[in-house]
Amino acid sequence: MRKRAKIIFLYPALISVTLAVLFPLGWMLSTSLKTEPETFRTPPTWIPLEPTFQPYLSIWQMKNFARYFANTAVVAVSATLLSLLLAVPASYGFARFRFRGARLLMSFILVTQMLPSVLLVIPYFTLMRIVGLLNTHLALVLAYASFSLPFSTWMLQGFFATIPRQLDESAMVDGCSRLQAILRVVVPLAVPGLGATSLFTFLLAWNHYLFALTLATTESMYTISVGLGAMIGEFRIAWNELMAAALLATIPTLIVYAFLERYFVQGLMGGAVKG
Amino acid sequence: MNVNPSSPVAAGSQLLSRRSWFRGDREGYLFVFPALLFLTLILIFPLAYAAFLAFREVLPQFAMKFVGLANFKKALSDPHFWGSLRITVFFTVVSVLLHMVLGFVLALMLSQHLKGSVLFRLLLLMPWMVSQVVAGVTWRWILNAQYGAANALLKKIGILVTDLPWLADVHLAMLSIILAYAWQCFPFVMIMLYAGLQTIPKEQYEAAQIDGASSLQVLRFVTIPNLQYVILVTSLMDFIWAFRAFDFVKIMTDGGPLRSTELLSILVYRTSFEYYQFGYASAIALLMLLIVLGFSIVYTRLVMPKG
Amino acid sequence: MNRRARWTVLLGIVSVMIFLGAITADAKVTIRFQDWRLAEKPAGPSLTEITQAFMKENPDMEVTLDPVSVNDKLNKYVTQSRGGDPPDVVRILTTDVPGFVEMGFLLPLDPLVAKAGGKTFLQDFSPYLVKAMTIKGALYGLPHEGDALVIYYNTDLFKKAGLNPDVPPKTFDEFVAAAKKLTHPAEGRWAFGMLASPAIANIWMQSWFLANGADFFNADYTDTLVDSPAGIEAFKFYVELYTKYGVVPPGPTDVDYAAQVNLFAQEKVAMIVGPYATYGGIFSANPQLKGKVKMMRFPGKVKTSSGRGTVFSIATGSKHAEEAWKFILYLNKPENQLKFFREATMVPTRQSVFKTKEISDNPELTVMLEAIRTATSYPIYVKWNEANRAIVDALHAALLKTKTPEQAAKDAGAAIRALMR
Repeated sequence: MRKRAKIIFLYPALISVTLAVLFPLGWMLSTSLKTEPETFRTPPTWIPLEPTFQPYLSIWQMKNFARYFANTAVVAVSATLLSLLLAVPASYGFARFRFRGARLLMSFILVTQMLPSVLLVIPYFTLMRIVGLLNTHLALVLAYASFSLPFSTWMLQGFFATIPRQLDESAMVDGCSRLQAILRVVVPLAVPGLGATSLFTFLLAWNHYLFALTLATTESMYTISVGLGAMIGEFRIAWNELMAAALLATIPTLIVYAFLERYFVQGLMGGAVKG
Repeated sequence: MNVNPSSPVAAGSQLLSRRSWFRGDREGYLFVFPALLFLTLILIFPLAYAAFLAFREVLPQFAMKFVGLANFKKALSDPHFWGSLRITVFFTVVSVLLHMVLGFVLALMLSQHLKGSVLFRLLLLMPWMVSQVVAGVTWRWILNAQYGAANALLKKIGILVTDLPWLADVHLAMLSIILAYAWQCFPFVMIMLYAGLQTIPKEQYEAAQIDGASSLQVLRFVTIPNLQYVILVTSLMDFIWAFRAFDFVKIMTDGGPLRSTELLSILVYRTSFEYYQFGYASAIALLMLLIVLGFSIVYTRLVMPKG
Repeated sequence: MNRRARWTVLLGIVSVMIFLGAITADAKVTIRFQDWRLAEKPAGPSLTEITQAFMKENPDMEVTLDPVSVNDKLNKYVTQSRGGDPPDVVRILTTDVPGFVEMGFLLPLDPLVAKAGGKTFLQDFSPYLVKAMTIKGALYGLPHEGDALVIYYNTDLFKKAGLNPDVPPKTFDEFVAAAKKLTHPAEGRWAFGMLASPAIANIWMQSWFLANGADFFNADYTDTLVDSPAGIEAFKFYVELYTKYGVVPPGPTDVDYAAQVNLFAQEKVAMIVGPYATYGGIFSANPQLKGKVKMMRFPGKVKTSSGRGTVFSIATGSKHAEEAWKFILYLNKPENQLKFFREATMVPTRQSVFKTKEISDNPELTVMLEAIRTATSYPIYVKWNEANRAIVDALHAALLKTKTPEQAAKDAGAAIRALMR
């Protein structure tokens, strides 16, 4: 009885919320299939009267778009890997060991999140210029890894804490060094947590705008978000193309999410959601 | 540790763990070191530079002069700063509350073992996947008073009779950016709370059922206490992000109309890049940092006294 | 391989790479060109073609393109300039130049202009732009494209309202009278698509001040005229179009450039302000309006309107100023300005190009050319962004009726004077 009641109320509620949430995205899709004059029509048409794939074709023909995609992919994947490389040992350290100032250091990591990025951009640009990393993928990779570290560390730390200490210790009793114990025993169990952290960092890197904009001194280093921003012209915006490009840009994130979905929730369950 | 001290393996591991305890202290530093070094190299310079600038006035032609606390005094006596602060606090508090409530309700709904829950989770997460720039541009267009899809749809359904000036009215503009920002950010809260809900031991729910607790009581005495930590983490991160929200709002309203949506981050941007007052902007940003930091400390102590 | 050998090989590879890097580094001079028009269609492809032609003619030079977004051009240029690595050649709006000069970002071009022909060379460029770009006696930007603002109107809607489209209003009063006839709120149609979204609200409003004999500043930017009697009169007139006469659609503070073109294209408003580029924009949005759109001068006591323009400048830190100048000269060659006009509908700045038949005999351009001849430049004030804010605050306050126009203008005047101290 209860179950039926639930279904009667819950399904419509969920469906209506989902439709409301998807409305802007649906609007983007609809616009991306219109001809330019139709995008300006008032009142707007919901289903394109003259549907066309031309906007998508135009984007694909823009030879630089593929490059923007490639740049973004390289940067996002590298940032994710770097973030994992740093966050895993750090979270392990915080989870397994109690040492002086641990709390303070964790807070310090969090504090770096609190500054607005508009303030960091000029000094970061200067720093990258001094070390000769301007207009490189690496500059963005470093920035994004540092942005995602706080949350990643926090999340993974909670996750490692739920993996019983005895496991690494019995591995060490069996003759492994701590490093081997971590790699062979702890990390495999932490895969969900790693999945969650990866998704989070990937999303952050994929969509970030300000740093990608200013650190690129030539078009060849543009990422997707910068390319999208550049489609907003002074005297003209081709809305249909902009929406098509925006949707294309979202597809990789969806794919990554679809892959990591089961890990993501599991990872959250084990990590940041437990004290 | 729940280990039977009489077993040799247990005793051995206990001994090992005690020994590793002492070694462990220092080893901890070793593990944390790479991340800290990295953050120091990448972010400390910018942070230090910002702090450095805050005590200076940037003059034409790349010159600078030391002005002590003048920038901070200027901020504290600047009505625009206080205005922006008020607006930012309002935006942040309302946003976080909205995200938490919306996220919680949806997380609860998704936890009800419905068929297709995975699909709903994927679809509801989509707004978070879209970049802030794209979301800002799209929402701006949708909310246009004359030709936006929002007014058109609402009029078609019959909720509205005349067009609402979503982004042109002083009060509606703030509402609009809160709603649009909520659209983008609620999925994160929802998924965090959803994951948290999955970790609550079923036994607790069963025990409550046996005791005859109402749904509301279950919520109050079983669900929420178990979610304390995740609520803290999620709301704190959400707060920090909302407080420094920028791209989204800049595109949608650029602080208008009449500065009613001029968040602190936008003020910092304008002061730096349009007025070239880099020192003053840094001072405002540092004040932002102090406020967020102060709030975080207080909030954490309140929600989880044990930390 | 043992450790030593491994390190030696690595060292060897690295040395070879450095060597190769070093010898190829000086082969070509590379200059960076940052321009938001590179991102636009059709301006972008046109500029790219011109750039490629330049590189063909100058095989020892490489021009890398940076098509920044229009909304972020300021932010990016300031960041890169302050960060120490700005682009060599950059396109800048005239209103942004004085601030950049003050911050030390731009190179004075006079020595380079002297080599290109000095005064005779410069005389070919639109006077109001050259004057605007001469700051403290030095020239900081070479004008590439520029025109004046006019009012576009829908001749169809004029006829329907009983107005003669060949005799547009000539005074403020005539304008209001015509506007009232063009406004039918019940049908969702208004007379004038006022643009009051912060970014360009003021430069769109300036022409009304100019037409009334006022401006935002006095000639040498030592005082503001926003609260002068003529200024207040113009401001009041402009604001009252919305607050008193209701000839402006609701929500003008949210109407930006794209929105106003949209309103006009959908025939929801009969008149909007715009440069020449608006002409093409209207037709892309609604091809059916071809033949139904004309330009008129701003009504008022003085026959003038705002003159806009973009210029090319060279960064002070540029290591290749001479080459950058070469490129700028090339972009500004009369045939290239004409090509840009043809392909991107951007009005040239060289008088010699104006004389070509394509432009001088073009009936669609008559009003625009007149407007350019009598144009008064946008405000060229070092603290323009802050003054802009103060005026926008006044405009919004008056439009949203939180202040009377007189009070708002006076407050703006006071704020600007505080800046000038």
